[in-house]
Amino acid sequence: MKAANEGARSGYRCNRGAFLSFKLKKAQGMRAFKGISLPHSRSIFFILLLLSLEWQAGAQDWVRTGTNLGAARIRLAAADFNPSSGDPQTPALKTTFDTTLYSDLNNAGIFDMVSKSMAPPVTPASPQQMNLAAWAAAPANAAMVAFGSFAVNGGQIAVYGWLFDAKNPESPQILGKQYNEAASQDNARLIAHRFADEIITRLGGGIPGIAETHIYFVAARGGNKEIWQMDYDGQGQHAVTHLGTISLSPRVSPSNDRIAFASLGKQGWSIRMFSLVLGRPVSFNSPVGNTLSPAWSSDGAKLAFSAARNGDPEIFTSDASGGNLKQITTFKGPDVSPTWNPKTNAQIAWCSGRTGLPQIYMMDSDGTSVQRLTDGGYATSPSWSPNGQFVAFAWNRKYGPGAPGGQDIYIMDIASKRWTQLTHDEGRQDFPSWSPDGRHIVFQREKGGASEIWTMLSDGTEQHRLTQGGNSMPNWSWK
Amino acid sequence: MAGFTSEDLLDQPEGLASPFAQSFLLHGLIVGVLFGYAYVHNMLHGSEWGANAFQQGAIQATLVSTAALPLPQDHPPTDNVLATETPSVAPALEEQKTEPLPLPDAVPIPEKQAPVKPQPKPEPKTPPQHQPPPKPQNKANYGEAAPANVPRSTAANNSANSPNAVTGGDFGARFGWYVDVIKRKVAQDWYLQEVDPSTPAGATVYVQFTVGRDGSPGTVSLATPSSSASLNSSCLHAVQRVDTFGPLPAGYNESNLNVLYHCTYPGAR
Repeated sequence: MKAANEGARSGYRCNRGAFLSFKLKKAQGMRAFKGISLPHSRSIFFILLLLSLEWQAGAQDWVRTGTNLGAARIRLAAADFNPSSGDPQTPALKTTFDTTLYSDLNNAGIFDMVSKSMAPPVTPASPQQMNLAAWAAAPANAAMVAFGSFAVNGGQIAVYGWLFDAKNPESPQILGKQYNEAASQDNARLIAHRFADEIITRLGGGIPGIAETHIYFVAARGGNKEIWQMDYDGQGQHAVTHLGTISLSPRVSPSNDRIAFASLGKQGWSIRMFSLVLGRPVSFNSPVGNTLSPAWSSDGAKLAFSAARNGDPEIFTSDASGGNLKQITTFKGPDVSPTWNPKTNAQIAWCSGRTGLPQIYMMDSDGTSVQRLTDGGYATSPSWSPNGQFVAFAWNRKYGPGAPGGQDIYIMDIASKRWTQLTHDEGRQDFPSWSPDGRHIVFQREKGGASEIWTMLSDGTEQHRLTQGGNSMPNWSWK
Repeated sequence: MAGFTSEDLLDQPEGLASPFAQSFLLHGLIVGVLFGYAYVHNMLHGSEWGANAFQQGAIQATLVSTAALPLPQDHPPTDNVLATETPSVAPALEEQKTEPLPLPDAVPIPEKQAPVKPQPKPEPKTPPQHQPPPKPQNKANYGEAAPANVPRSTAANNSANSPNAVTGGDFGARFGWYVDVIKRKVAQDWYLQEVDPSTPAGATVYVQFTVGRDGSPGTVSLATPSSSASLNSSCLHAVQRVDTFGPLPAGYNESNLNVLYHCTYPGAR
């Protein structure tokens, strides 16, 4: 790296030298210009204009960097925000804000967070109060610092937040934001989510953060199985549907305004649609026969699902209202749980039992080019990653009585067909669902007779539970 | 009469040779005259047989084809295809032959019987069977991946004033965090398993690309290739996998940013 830096420095000098030499020549040219005739002066002016344009075209800065040891996480410190008002609500709301901000940044998966105990005791309220050297030094060793002020004035929360580069005292500011919302716990959390998402977007390379996303799931808390909603971190859990029956497989639309799910009615299982905007069910033309496991295409124009029109469940696609029904599989044996490739919407992975135990397959969205992805065991519940690169699924590789291992979450690289096991020896996992940033997976874990929603990074680390009390089938919203 | 008697006349030898010779000569002369006349006549009139001597000297023009000429034809075609001026000769009737009756005591010769070949039994026609569909390939070509290349350790940069990259222009000085973003995102998408394990550790390839204002990489090319083609392509792929680095910092006013990125192979693990 040192050598590279030196080389880069020499390149910088070279550039500056070229620039100075050009300025010198330009000055000489101007001096000469005074004593020459008009036609010559025109041609010289034209040449100078061309040179000037050429210099302008090459004006973009150069950056020289590289890698040899993989990617290190960013060492980020989230300072407690400075309380800048005397309102009695301030301490409680600020605590919520600080906790949520730290948690969001910690959950992002791209930061190595500086523990609060290692942070300098001061809480800067503004850039003028910021002592970057204290944050950059041990024990914090922060590369970045998020800080700001938190005030409650007249029932309004006012937050000023900054993100500074601790290694760059000359030009430290990366981000500066201001937020105003009505004073409430929910809004304190909302502002923290927004500020965290800004930081994650900026430092995470343009991929939006997930702090404002939601997770939809099935909860059996009132005797019936209804669709529930919570924030990505498990906060704010509440029921969405109150249908008094069994509802399964919630899938929120890409525009976040509808939920498609399978519901048990008088005619058996059918796909139903619930509008999150209107707060009530809306019509969906579900096919005859048991219809299950809906899946939205990423443009929100199509649904894929499994329908047993003739007794054998097959994969169908339709438009968002249930019209324009097309059957795309005709295999003997059940075909269920379709999931679109959200990057292209040109492929569908699904679970097929045509050879006995269910396995994961992949095909083009018109039913052609069928490929088998797993070859053995018991594989279910595929979910395609937002960048189209991976399929996550639940797999019991040694399925059978007395076989070792259990049902775990795996991801497979579609291009190379290489799989990676993410969970190990922690009960029975099922129903993985990707977060929109592709860095997280939410899934259902059954352990000790109870089924709960868990989340983890997509490399299997940092697993933690989100729910308590009989919950299943999570689905992460698109944004 | 005393001197000639009848006996004397009869007894006298008659001379026949002379008359015979004259007769032959006369006949030969007649025949010669006939042949001579025929020869002379043939010489004078032989070419006049059937010929019209009076048409000599007339010009004859023969049309090769009259189809293309818009002229009335001399012989309009008749509608009756059977009517023709040159009827064909009727075929001669086949002569009826009568078989001679066999003699009453004739014993018929037994005809030689050719050995009868056993006729192959006609196979019962089977209804056309449906061609069975090709057996689906129910074998997945897959396997366990190498351990994920996920950052689990930190690389602390202890000195406050040493940005990770030094730049042409002051971009690296002002927006070192963005240089870090570029470094990290490409590093995350650089798959070491794409590199041939025989590549020597330390082999380095330099890749050049631009970052647009929206953060999208473009015009990716090899600046300085290494000796390993797989290392070169893996570093190119790493950049090509990145959708965006995030928008360029607001304080940077140029239209894009040029990046020279190096991938140094750490050696097979």
